[in-house]
Amino acid sequence: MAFSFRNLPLHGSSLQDRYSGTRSGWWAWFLQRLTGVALVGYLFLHIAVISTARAGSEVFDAVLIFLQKPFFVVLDLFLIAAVLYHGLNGVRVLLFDAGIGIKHQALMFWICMFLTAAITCTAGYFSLPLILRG
Amino acid sequence: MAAPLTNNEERVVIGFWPWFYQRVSGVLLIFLVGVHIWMTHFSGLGDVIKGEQEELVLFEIVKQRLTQGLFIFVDFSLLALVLYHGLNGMRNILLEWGPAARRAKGMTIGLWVLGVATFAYGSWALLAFIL
Amino acid sequence: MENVTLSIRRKPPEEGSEGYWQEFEVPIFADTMSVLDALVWVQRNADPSLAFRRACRVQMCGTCGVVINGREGLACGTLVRSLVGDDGGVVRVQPLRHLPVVRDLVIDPGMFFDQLRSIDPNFIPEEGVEGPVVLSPDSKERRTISPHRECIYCGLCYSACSVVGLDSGFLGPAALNRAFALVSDSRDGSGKQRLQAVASEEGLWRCHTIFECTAVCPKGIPITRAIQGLKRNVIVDKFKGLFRLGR
Repeated sequence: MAFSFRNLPLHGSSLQDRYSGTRSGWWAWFLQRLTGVALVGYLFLHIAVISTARAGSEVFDAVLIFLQKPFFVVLDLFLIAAVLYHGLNGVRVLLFDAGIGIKHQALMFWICMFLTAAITCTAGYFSLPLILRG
Repeated sequence: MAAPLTNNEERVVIGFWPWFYQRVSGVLLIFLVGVHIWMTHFSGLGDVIKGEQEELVLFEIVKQRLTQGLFIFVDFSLLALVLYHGLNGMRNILLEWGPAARRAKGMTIGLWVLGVATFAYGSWALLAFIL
Repeated sequence: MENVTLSIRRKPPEEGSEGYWQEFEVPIFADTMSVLDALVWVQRNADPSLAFRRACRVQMCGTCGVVINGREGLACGTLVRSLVGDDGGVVRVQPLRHLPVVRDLVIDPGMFFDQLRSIDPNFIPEEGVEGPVVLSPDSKERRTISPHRECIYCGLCYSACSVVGLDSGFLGPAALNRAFALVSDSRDGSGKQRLQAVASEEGLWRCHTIFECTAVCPKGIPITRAIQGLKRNVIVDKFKGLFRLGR
């Protein structure tokens, strides 16, 4: 076989192999921002909804009964997914700050994604009667 | 170009505390948001499905919960922490955007005003259940 | 001998001129042909006006950094075969991001080096130390700083960093990595001051651990680890100061 540089270990390649992953780190950051901004937006909506209590308990109940229709329960699941991802990835970043798991950042991102999906699906499963009662 | 390091006797660490408080508030929020979502949306789920309770969240249910000191504490600290965490996050994003970064001081003050005003408004709304 | 299509981002040197993509058919004349070899082939055989930088061609000098198929790399260290496989294909080459393009693939790295200079990247010896300081190769300190001293200042991390793309005031990965190498070095006399120089909102705290820098570093430097190390240094320093345990 002809001589090939491809088979030679390049300088620093062992370190590179250990640290260079996919571009999951970028997605982790982007989703953190996206969910963060979305949650800030939701926060203000949430406060606005709660403040209808000042108009009396009947108004509050009317608004809340409307907001617990099946369509909004489905939206709530998206909200839960956003909160879960933001919190779990927050833990991931916090561990990096503590110097833990920097080598395994890509794996940790996928763990966050998996847990988000798993817990959201579980919550969705238990909320199914609320969605179907239509 | 910055002056050589040796002339930087006066230089202080900037931006550490917002960064640090973002992490502290984040950790606290994990617990508080967990309790909040569980109590409002899942603890009563069984009763609603069985038909023993009309909806998950109604005025009387919230009022009942807020008679306990623990939940008054949870709700008010949740409001304050989530506002700090959220608006500080917005500040971090805006600081990476030229037009806002050039007016960083004004923007920070603006966000604080917004935060304090929203906290006051949110507290006023919450007190409807307590008083 | 099969060909590879080299799609190159061209830009005339005149100010305000528009950039465009130009394609060249380049024969793959060796399995070991690098992207740099392909660029040289184009310059010699197809278009002598093609501008790019190069020097050592063995991944030592950090001069030939470009963006290859959307990802930062040294042109000399990226084999064409690793990009197109055995059937040929398209390889897109464009200049590094976040830096002004002078012409074709040549960027002006001035900003990158200005950021580096702002942390005073040179070694400042501790005062009053006589003779050489011994730092044994297997000591913990040496092992900590060693990978971070490998930097060749090619600017790939600066180009890959999403935060630099958003905020050109950000110090950037290379400068922070250099600061970590010096701060962690007991022979350097300006540890705490250098720490203060990087611990600003435009510096340390702007890093969001996106790991792009670490992924593209041709020397495999765990840059994010360096930045996180600096953050921990500041935390320790802060709380030492708070409880008055420090110097």
